[in-house]
Amino acid sequence: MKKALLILALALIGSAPLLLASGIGFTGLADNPLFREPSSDPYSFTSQLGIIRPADALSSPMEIMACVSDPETGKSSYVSLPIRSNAVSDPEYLNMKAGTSLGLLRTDLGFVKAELSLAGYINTVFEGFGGTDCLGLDGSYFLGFAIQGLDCLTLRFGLHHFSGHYGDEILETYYSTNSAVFEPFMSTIDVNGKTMNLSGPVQYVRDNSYLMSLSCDGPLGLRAYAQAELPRRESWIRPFAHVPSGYTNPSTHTDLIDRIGGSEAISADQKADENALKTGSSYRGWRLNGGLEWSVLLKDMTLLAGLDLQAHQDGQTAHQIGSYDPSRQWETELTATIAIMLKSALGARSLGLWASYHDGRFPLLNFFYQRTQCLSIGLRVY
Amino acid sequence: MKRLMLAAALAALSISMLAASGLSFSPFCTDPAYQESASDPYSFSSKLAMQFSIGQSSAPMGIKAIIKDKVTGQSSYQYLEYRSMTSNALAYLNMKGGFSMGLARLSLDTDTWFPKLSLEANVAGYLNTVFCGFEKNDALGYDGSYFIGASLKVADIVALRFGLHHFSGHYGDEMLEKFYARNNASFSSSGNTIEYNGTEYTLSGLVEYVRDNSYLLGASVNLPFGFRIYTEAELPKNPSWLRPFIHVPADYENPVATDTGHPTLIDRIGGNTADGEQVSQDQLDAEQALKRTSEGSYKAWRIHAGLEWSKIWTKIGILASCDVQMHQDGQTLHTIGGYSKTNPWELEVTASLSAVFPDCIGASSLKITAEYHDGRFPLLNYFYQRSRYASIGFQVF
Repeated sequence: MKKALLILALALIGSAPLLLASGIGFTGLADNPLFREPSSDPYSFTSQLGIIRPADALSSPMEIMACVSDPETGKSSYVSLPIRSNAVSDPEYLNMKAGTSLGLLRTDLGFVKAELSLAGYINTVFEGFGGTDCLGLDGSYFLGFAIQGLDCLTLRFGLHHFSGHYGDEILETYYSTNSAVFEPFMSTIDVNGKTMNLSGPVQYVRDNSYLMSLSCDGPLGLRAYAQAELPRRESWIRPFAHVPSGYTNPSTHTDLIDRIGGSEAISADQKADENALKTGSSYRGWRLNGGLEWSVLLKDMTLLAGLDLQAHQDGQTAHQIGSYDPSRQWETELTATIAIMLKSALGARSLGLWASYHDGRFPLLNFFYQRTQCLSIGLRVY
Repeated sequence: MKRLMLAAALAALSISMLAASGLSFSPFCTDPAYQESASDPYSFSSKLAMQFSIGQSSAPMGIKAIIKDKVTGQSSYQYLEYRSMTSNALAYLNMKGGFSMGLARLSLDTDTWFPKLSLEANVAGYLNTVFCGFEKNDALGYDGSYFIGASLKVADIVALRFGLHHFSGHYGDEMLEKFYARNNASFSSSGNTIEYNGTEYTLSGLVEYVRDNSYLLGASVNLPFGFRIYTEAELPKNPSWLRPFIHVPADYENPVATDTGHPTLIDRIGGNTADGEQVSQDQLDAEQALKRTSEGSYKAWRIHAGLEWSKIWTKIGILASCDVQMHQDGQTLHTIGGYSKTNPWELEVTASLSAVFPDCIGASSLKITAEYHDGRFPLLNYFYQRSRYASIGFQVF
């Protein structure tokens, strides 16, 4: 990563005088990036403030998955344990996301434009009941470049980071409910009346992946896009169950299944089994998404409708140790959005009142194992 | 009905006269009438900066927990480590995503002697987080803050803002896990425990910082030669939610009117409800009595002021600024029973120098900023952690 950044910096510094001498125009910083963030993509680099209303009790995150091992057998597993002992009726959630996507050093050659891309967000969800506890916090960023041809076809490529975190208040309640006992070398937690060794709550990390995006603006206000994300061969991936075989960690350059499994206190034979299960398979922890958008200008406003489909290859692991099965389906997410946007209300940005239906993962990375069907409404900056 | 129609007609006539005389309306303005400050650690801006602690005592190596002696039943706030100090543990990464905007603006510009006026409804907010710049880049915590109010700008010189301001601090999950393991924390539905100096204590929780909500009043004046001065004062509402309990002023009301068992905010935040700090009633009464010695002067005020100088050419500029914060809650020494009217307010000083690239993100500027800070660590829950650091990075506001 450092090498890549150094090469990029040197290339920029080295080529700047030549480019300047050539008379090609530059825009130092553009807040209307060539690759527009998709309106329905749950992982887009946008800002939003929304209320989430789950469709049913099963759609609300009332449990956290912990990595535990049986002290008798030494076998590890991921178990879902309740956050609190009392039931909550008709829960709602508040979603706050602060994000942006920018174009740097844009070059315009007429038929083709190119720029460096920088994007990121911090995302958090609060419970809309009780003490308004925070469920968690995500961080994501993107560093790369984008090229646009004929003002309609855009390609983006770069490195993409995902990191999930749990909320402090939720964890405290969770540990109390499940009688967790912490010690420097082995903590424990109560699972159905049995004391199990606790490695920690299951976390979601992709540090870093390659991300490639393609967008095409068609006639009649239509747009289609697709993105593919592939974890780098040398990167950090959590949880252990999602790690492909043959990957290495950036710190010691040793096997990643071994390294992440070690941090989750997985036994040597389970690590070997996981490796054997994935060796020779096509499993790489891919994330693919694609979508369609349609927009129409109505005086000073734009009406936008979008549909996004995500496919996660890590769904083939069933989010369990030793459960990878190449014949299992990829996990999918579907999001449909309708928005009324005030064009250029915020500089080059649009402010939108939006409503969406989502059938997929709960919108916090660490709760990837929580399927949810929900309706959301709120404000968003595109 | 006739009166109503007459009033409406008069209002319409006044508006059209005003419109003819220079009244205009603009929705959604990214150049809010009240400008954010470059050196204010709590400003509604976006930031990405590397932060280097000056000296090991400036780096947070632990957090304060609320613990209770099992024999005496007395509670105290104790600083417990979550990691050992190492020489490389001085670098941190600060990420803040924030904005400040006008939702709607009414402007009056008559081109006469009458000064230009802008009245605006405002909303602002940020999410702020700090990661360790060493080892596994653990998240130390994150903050949320927002402001809802209005501002008035006169003659493009004086700006005032007033509204409700929210602060809420949170700890990071990875750091908490290490903290609990290092201090042998044990959780159960009947009570949690933690080890401190080899003795087992009841763990009532972790010390948290909340202001939900406070009144915020700000004034800013543009002076000649590129200078600007500003000052803001923040006063927690009564009733409101305010943590930790030792920061609560005397005789503030419990916001939950139905909770008659805890008549004051000190009783509610420090007391035995599920969200309380489980402090014994005699300590709560003692805290109440101690705060009453202030004779109403202790209100957990936060006051800050600053001076900026800027010089903007067409595409680039320079901005130098200095901000001083004063926290009245420093008089509590952040310890149960520590309040004294004679204790000084806690001070924070921040000085920064920025290269400014104006209007490059909507009406916002991108700044490359170098900063020196002597004050609280830049996460709300670490208010008890004094920190001196130098930082360099990007700011957008």
